[in-house]
Amino acid sequence: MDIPYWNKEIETADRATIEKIQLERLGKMLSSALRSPFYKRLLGEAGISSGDDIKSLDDLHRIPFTTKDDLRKSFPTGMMSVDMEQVVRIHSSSGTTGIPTVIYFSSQDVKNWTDLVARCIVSTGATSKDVFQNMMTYGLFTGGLGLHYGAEAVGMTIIPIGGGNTKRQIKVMKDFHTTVLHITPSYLLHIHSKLGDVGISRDELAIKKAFVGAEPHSENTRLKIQELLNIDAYNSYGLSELNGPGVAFECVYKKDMHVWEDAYIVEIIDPKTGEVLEDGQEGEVVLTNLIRHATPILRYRTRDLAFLHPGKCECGRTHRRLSRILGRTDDMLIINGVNVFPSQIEEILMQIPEVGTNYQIYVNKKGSLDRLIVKVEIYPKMFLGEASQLDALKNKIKEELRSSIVINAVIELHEPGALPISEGKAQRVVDQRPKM
Amino acid sequence: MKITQISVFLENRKGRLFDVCSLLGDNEINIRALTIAETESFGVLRIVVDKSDVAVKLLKDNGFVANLTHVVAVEVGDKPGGLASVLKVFADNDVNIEYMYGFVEKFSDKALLVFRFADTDLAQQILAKNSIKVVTEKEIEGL
Amino acid sequence: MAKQLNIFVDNRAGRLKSISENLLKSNIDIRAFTIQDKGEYGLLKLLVNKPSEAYLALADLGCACALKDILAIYVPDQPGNFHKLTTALADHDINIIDAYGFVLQPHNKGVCCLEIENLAGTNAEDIVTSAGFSVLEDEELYKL
Repeated sequence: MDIPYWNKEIETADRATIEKIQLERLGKMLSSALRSPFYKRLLGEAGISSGDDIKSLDDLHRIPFTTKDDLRKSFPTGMMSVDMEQVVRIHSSSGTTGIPTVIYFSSQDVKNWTDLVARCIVSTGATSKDVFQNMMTYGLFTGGLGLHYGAEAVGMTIIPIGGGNTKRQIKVMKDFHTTVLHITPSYLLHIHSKLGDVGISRDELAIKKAFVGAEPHSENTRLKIQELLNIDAYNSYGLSELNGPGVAFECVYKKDMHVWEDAYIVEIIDPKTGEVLEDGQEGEVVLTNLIRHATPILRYRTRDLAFLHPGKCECGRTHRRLSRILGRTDDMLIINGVNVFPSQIEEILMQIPEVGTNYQIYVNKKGSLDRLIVKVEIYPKMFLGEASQLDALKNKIKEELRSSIVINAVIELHEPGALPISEGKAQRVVDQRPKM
Repeated sequence: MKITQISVFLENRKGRLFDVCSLLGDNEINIRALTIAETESFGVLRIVVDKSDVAVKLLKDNGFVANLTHVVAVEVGDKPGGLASVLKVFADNDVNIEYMYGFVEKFSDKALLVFRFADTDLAQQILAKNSIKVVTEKEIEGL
Repeated sequence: MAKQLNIFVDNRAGRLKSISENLLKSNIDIRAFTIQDKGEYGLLKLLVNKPSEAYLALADLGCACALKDILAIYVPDQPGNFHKLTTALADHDINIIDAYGFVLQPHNKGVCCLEIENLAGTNAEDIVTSAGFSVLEDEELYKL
């Protein structure tokens, strides 16, 4: 097989070269980090005051971990290492309690990110001849714009359609002979189920590849997608703290995702002890960004669980492969590609006076899409006996949730005492979706 | 172990609560604990008195709608965390509390709270099992 | 004004039984009932002989319930009378949110129980009596 590369030299460089690049970039990144208030303090406490203080990659453990909480507490500019004037892009994701986390990019940072994404796209065999329908959300989320810039660098014909409006998505696929999609796996299956509704058959579509990401899914799901749609589906991993998409991507062999080790230092740790684990052992993914200087992030605990493959990939790339994400160390839910913490839902519910103190969150499947059901008990004192009041309450809860967590939830009202009580053994979140 | 509580239906009219309290007061009935649950248009006054049977008849004879319920008076440590530890016992044993409120005075050095349980018998079993003291009707009358 | 007891009930087996059990214990008689189905829950609407007592009994056990003012109207049991009533209300822009009715034998009388939108802000009772209908006061209704 003729293996496509964006940057063959880097992608097939030997380990020694990669590590040399990592050490050099780490030094420069530390210098940038020391310009942010957060890292100045954190690194200072760890006895690191200059980029030269780390002499080898073995010293990496001297750098303390960074957590999502640190990002929240540093909002808005605690982790910024440049002046706002040098920032050309701001991306943001919602935090656990409504405080967002924010990432700033300089012009060079965006170029670096773009280059990585182009590398990802080309590694799947996609080319400038492809028509690319980017169905991930554009906006503050990194998914849409991240792939967009990379695809533009590759020279693809981009349809920047974003998400939603299934019928239109399918019509556009037909009208413009889309060959490559960027989409969540559940939405892709949903599209398949809707072809009949639009009166368009699979034969009328030219789709060949899908880049699937933003939600963990099993190998079986990927195989099902490939079989039902007769396409190749490539797994994509990324998170905004580490730029966005482009952290790791599958090559033509589709045997898990190459992490670009000239751009990231990846470690797998035991989530309880922080000990760095060997290749092949499952643990928490920790990433250090070597190529974004406006918002340095070092040894970031992603709370994603996975392992690194010890063996080599047939494609000849020397960058290690990360397994698909096997779970989380926290209680974060991913619903149709959107991250949400149960505590965010709780906070919203508790601000609505007609809602009692008991609630439950159910997640299950409706067809191929995830569905979030929020069950609440009504508060007897606020009950006036009218259906219209209750309808208004349901709508209010639905609207509040939609505007804060960007998810359309199904709301169910229940009698006081109907749901399991708040303390003790009650399970707040019931995830009924089939496990990996 | 159970004590008697009187629930009185209150229309949301000015002076209704005053009417109840002055009626009881004029007849030498002492209110020991009290709580009100209200909506926009009406409310329920819940009281523990020293002479329940007399009180409920008096209220009914004077045109109030009232009934008797069984509640439990629980002793709770009068310090931070006292109530929390009792509530934890209930939560761990799936004992549902409908509502609760406090006594006007203390019985001993412990605080005294009225609890209305969904299942009073189960609650009493759990209280006994966890050595949480409950105050009897007789002891209330003597307060 | 006649009072109806509206009770929020989860839509699953056993909920009505728990309410009927409570009412029985408190010696309450049910005169009429209906359920407004809202999917995962419903609003059980009861006409009982002692509404305030019933409210006390149910509220004590954590039920979400409320007493609603309703317009209970005698409608003579002959063709055309129901239509006369609905016309009178429509002509004055009075909106009925919920309604149920029953016929009393052997009196040839029908009773319509109407939940009126924003009752306090309308003069629905006057409109109905002007149209020739008689409205039942609470005691009368409960004694039926």
